[in-house]
Amino acid sequence: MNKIEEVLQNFPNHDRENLLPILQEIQKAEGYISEDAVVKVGSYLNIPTSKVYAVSTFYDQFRFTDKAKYQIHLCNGTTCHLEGAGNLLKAFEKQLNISSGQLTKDKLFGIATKPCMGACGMAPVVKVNEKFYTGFTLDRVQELIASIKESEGV
Amino acid sequence: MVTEPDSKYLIENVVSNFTREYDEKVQKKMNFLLRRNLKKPVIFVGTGTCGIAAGADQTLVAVETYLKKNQLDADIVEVGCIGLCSAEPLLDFQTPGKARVSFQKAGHSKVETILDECFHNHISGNNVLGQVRNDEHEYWEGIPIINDLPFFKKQKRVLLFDCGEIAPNSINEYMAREGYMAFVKTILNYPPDMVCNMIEQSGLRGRGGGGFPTAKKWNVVRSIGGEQKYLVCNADESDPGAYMDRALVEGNPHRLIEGMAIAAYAIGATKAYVYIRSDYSVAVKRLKSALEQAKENGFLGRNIFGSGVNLQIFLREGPGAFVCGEETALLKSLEGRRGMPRSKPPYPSEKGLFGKPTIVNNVETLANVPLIILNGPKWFKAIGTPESAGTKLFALAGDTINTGIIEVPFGIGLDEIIYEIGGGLKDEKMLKAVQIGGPSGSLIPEQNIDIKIDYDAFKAAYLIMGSGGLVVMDNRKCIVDTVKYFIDFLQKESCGKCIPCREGTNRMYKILDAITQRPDEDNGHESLMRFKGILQLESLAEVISETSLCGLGKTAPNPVLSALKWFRDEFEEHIYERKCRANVCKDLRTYIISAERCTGCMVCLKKCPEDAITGSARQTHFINQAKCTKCGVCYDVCKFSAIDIL
Repeated sequence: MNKIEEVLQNFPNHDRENLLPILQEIQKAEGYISEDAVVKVGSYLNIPTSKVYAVSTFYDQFRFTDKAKYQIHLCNGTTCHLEGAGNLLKAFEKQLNISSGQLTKDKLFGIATKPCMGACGMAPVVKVNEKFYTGFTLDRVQELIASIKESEGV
Repeated sequence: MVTEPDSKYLIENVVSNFTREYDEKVQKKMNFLLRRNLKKPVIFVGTGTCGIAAGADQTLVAVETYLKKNQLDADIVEVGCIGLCSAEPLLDFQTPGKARVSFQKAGHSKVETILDECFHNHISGNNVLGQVRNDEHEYWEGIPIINDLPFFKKQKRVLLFDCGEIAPNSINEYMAREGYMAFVKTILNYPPDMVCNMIEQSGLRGRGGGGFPTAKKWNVVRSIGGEQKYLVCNADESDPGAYMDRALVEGNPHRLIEGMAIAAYAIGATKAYVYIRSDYSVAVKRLKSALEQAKENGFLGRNIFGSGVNLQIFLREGPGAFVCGEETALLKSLEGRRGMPRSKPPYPSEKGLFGKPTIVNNVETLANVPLIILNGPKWFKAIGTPESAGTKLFALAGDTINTGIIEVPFGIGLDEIIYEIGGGLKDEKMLKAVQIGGPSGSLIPEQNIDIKIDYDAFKAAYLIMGSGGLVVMDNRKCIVDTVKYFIDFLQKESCGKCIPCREGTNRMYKILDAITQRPDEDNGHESLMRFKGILQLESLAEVISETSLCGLGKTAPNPVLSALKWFRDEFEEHIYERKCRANVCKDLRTYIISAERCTGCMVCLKKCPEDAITGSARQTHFINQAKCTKCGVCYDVCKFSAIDIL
């Protein structure tokens, strides 16, 4: 049995209200929402595939491509913006040669902006996977990428 | 980890309203939970999201390593945040008989020094924030009392008083502090209409932003008889720069659960939902475990304490959409649909979740409920102003010295918040404006800073209180850029249902973006066209706010309108002089090399990505403005500060 079916088993109730929790569980298990997942969830809950896709694309949480090994999140809250998060984003994009929302060819890095993470006292905030970097500055961009690359032996 | 003692005696305490006499054994257990007469030292680490961001998880590891290395015995307790985010990570130490001391900026490298001092009973004062007032304990010499610090002195911490003090993952600690007593008392003694009356007398108003009287809403649903009803707690706090609800849930999730339980009982709902942002991973985790504990201890479930009351609370993670803060959109999302608002009436109180009567309340509103029941409506009414009773949480962020979550009584002046609680502005800069109420809130200019925090005073000044975001901006911030940021946020978050909101905010963004870019042509006609855009902003704003369905669209033009009202000169400067006085709008900058300071070191010349700099060694360099893309690399690399920005 694959992961999607395993998740579906945990929701014995076929009500539509389970749609979002199911999608969240699938993303947790698989890292993203695949085409297969959309079809299977649709037939399980008896909702047209198009509707499942319509709902899932409405929300920021759902991803439709695989996850990078190091997902770089830039906080896009008010305070972070005022403290220069926009310039940081440009610097990361330039350094990795991808734009926000994409990932590098080797799937090592991905960049995305995130709505306010609620650490406004320490703006600007950058989060790589689960690790926070606070009061981030432009000159640390290169450093951060280099240190991750080094630890990965690239 | 702290071992949790059996909680049976606590439940008995709660049910008997703490009127029982304790035997010695119970007294001992209570002392442990209330941290009186400690047997061994306790180390508290603030591990809210903001603490973790500042490195509290590493501090925690460092504390464990330190204790192991020195073979010391102490309890380590993870707590929520006391609110002073600018001092994170926070580490508290309490040793038997002595007052609890707080240390600020206790990163992992500082742990050893701090704990060395603590265990040797000699605190030198480095990194010390203050000590907690408790007259049963002996005070440390020369250390200020925390509540006397300027950040805390003007606050009235009714909701926050135990955030950062008690362990959020322990229902026993909450029960020992009379937690769940209000709920048990309510279901055993008060009929629902009496609960609604008490809330009405207290004058509690919805803290989500609108300020609608809570009891009025509850009474509508209570009076509808019979069928299934729902209570929904809106914890989908998505305003950038606001995190009050997160702090409440991370600091003490049980108070929210108790508030929800009382509210559900008052309106006759047997099912309740918490809709919390999935990004708040720490808060979600704590709330989940708190719900489990509440169920295990019999506060949720069937026939609670023999009262015949049934209640289930479900946790739903909001998958991230700003518009889901609007109640009808939130309900759609709970039903598994796209979170798009619908027109009201019918209001959710008549036709809400799954078509049944539903109450949607904000976290802060519900967290107030147990306190009102416990201390009486008169106590609550006495706080704040006659029309706006109680306290309000704000997320103070931006350019003040102290930043974090604050709780103030209604009626306090905004200037008191900024200059006393916030400690004034960083780097001795001048205040420019305060943005209140998130992206669809308003800018308050420096000259109006004496406004009182009060729903009616705000209404009279055409301002929105919002849920509690408070961003302080000094004169290094550009108003046009800030407004552009808000409109960009709103145009991305617009659900797309109403065309004026979807297209109008996009149009507004383009107009604002145009004036922060250098024009292609340098003639007077172009400036005039850009100015015309500004004039159109006002009529566009009117259309958007009058023809949109929900609060998001209706309030979307607020930042633009308030900025145009108070900072029109800055807009004009951007258009006519192509100048951003705060030097934030990059495209409007002009970089010039000063002939006096340039040593001709050629560093900028080599670093310039566009080859826009010409010159030779030991000769003054020159920037070719036609090629310059204003990236600012030359400015950053120049060691002689020879590059000026005009």
